[in-house]
Amino acid sequence: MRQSFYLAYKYITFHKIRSIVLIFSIGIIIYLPNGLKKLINESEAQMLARAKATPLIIGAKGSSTDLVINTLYFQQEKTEGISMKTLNDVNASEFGYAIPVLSMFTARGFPIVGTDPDYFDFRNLSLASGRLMSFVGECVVGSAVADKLNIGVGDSLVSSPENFFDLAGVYPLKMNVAGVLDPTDSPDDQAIFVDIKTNWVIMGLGHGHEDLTNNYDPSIVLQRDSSTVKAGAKLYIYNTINGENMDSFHFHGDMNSYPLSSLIFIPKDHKSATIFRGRFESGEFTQQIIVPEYVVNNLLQSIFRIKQIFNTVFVLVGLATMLILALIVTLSIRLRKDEIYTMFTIGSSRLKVFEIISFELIILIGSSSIFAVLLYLLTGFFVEDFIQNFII
Amino acid sequence: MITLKNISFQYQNSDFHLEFSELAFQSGSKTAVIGPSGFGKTTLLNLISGIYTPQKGSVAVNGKIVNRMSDSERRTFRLTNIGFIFQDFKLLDYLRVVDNILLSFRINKAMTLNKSIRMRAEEIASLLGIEDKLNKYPNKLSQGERQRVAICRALLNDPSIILADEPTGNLDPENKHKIMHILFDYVKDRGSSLITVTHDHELLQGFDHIVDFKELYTYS
Amino acid sequence: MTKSLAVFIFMLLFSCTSKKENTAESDAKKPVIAVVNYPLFYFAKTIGGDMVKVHFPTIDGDPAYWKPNAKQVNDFQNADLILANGAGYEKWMEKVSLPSSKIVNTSIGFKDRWIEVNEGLAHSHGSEGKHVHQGTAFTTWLDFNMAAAQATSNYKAISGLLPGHSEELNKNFEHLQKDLGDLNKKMKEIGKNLEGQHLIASHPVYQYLEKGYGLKLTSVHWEPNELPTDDMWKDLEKTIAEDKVGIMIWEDEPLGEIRSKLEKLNVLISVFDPCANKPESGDFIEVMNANIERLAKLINLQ
Repeated sequence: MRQSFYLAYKYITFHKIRSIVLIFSIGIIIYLPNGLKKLINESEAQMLARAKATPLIIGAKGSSTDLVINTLYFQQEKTEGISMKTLNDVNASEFGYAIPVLSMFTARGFPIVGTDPDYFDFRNLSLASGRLMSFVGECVVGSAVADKLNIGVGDSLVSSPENFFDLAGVYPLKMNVAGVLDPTDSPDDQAIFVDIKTNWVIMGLGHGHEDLTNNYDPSIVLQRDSSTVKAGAKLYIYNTINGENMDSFHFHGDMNSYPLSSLIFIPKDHKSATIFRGRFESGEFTQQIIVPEYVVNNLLQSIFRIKQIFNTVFVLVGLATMLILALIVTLSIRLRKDEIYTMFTIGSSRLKVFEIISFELIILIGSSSIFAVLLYLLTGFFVEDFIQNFII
Repeated sequence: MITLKNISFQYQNSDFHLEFSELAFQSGSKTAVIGPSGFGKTTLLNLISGIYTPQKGSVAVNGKIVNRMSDSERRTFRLTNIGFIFQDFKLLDYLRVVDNILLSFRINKAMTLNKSIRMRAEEIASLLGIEDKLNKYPNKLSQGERQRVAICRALLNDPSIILADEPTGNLDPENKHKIMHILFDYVKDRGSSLITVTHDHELLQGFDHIVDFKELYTYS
Repeated sequence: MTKSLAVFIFMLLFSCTSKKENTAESDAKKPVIAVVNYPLFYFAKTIGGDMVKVHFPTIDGDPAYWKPNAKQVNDFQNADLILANGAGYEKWMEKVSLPSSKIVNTSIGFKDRWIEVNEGLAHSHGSEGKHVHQGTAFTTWLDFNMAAAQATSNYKAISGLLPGHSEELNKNFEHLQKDLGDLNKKMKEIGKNLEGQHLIASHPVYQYLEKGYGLKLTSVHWEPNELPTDDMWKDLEKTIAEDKVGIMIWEDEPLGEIRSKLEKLNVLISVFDPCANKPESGDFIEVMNANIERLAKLINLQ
């Protein structure tokens, strides 16, 4: 046995390139169905887990799928928003509490998510460094954002002027990184969290500028009467918020009318949830309230009908793999006819030749399996990307 | 003494047919087998070694009928009595010279690869002048060196019969004579029999007997 | 004997340590209520008693103009309940990040009674329309009716945090309501006595006191520890003459020079501390009672 293994090992290591190509291709053939299965199953589990961990979502009437995807994955679908008033009304209902979510801008390709400190408690997000955002203009970045952009506490990020909604007044804001979150293998790793008010500043609903009361520069102040000052476009609007200009930042109009994408609602208990949902059905609230778990379940069901096709494909791929292996063995025996004859002439049995070739196969398939297992383990790291790119 | 009597042999799915009434080789003699290609000279060596068994007739070596032995008996017989040498050396390209020489010990349960065998391999290698090539792969050796490796492998078991199939066919004249000298010296020292299939009439001088396959057929 | 002694000692030790742990644990478990001014601190502390930890940061000056640092914002973020005064009081909250679900605006219940004031100028720039930084008077608690409403909102929020303590909370709350009711009664009496009289206020902070108790107030912007300019005096003298003013209300005792000059003008000084920040001595009720007593005394003097 040991000698057969030795000869098999020698054969495989001598034909390095041939063996590596074989190990890689068999490995990939073994991996593919399993890896895909894992990817699909884990995506399913991860999506369901995030949906289950989010009891209720409140948003404008319309596509419930878009609303869930926007709230859970910060995908900036074009959905109708709701107003800040809804948040106040919902919080006043005493059936639980709501966390605002506003996701419509990006910075360097990552979504900016306006929310409030409750979100971090709710999702059990802990800080790897720094602190939560304390002031408007500060942000807390997910671990993947910090890694990919190579930024940390004390650095800054500028919001991108482009946005999905084609808003005219979008004011790029330089945000200071106050903290970096620990990784969670969830969309939270890929997000830039700011206070909801910071998002409104980017929308131009709030701003900071020099005091006009005592400014008499005619190129800035165009018109002035006892109660009104009209300023020209030359008036410098601060593009960053810091200790020096913080005082000058202010919001205009009724903050109750300010927009939100949606609310995550955490009911006190099951009974509260039921009664509260009833309020939406009765028309007391004009928005829609949804159970993300149901929506995600539906979404997954329709997407994973493909899974059945996959299963058939896997069987065929498995069969093809067996045939290819059989072919490889036959060809290799034919190629090595001379060698086998030599072995016979010096006293080898057929069994011994079979043993050596079997060991070669075992080593090849074993190495391929190890390679497949490595790929399989790596697959875990791509579940998030798979969800982001292929499912939602 | 090797005796083949009333032999009739045919390959499966082939028209080739070998038939003769008697052929004998004296122990300790050097016999050259000559004749045109396709007359069954190599088949004769395979019949003697028990790789093939004739459909009719008997192959007797020192009184033992080889074609009546079981498969495993024939293997053991081959292993302990016969050393094979081929025209194209039949070395395994993926094994180093030393492993090629020791191959029969690696593919046979009956043989134990121990230190003394390794020492013997080195001894024969140095006898044949390839002691410095033991860790090389065959493709790094010259043709003459390769044939020496093949001879080392054949002689490792100290065989009483050496079957050589065109052993010098791929060698230059200088190497040709050297190799034949090595074989003749070995046979002389050990009292082994040497049966060599050859086309090379230059070599015939050193042999005790010559079997011409053309005549064999004529006689039969 | 030795065995029972050992058991006794063990139990003694165990009871001691567990008691200690209990206190520490209950302290850590106490809900934290962060408040933005002293009246709310007083209400929360009076209602919640030892059952809650009330966090009112040390603020130098008027809490309405407080600018917290990151650490102080963090203290608010970590509270279980944030009591805001509302009516535009805590402008700083517009610039910080706080969990909206934990903020209770104690004056939202009487939003319709908030008093609007104009601050600064309306202005417009770029493509945006005209806007004005309008404000709301925010010393709501100086109308004790409103203070009582704020206390009620306070009570409801604290009850939500301590569901098992309704009896105790209720008792405390009733006591507070009674105190505030008494203040309201006394202040109403004063309002009646001052009917038809014009008063001057050193600062525009008494809007709710004025409206709640039917006073007629003209506010100036005078600091108790700064001497007014001649122009300021001239304007004041004009108002005194026109409106026949006999009393000027101050947030704090003014400089002696100001007092004597006002007395020469036959204007009496009454300090009415709005008590937005923690008083040096006494509590909210005591400070307000003293305010009312001072005013009553002046009315008797007149």
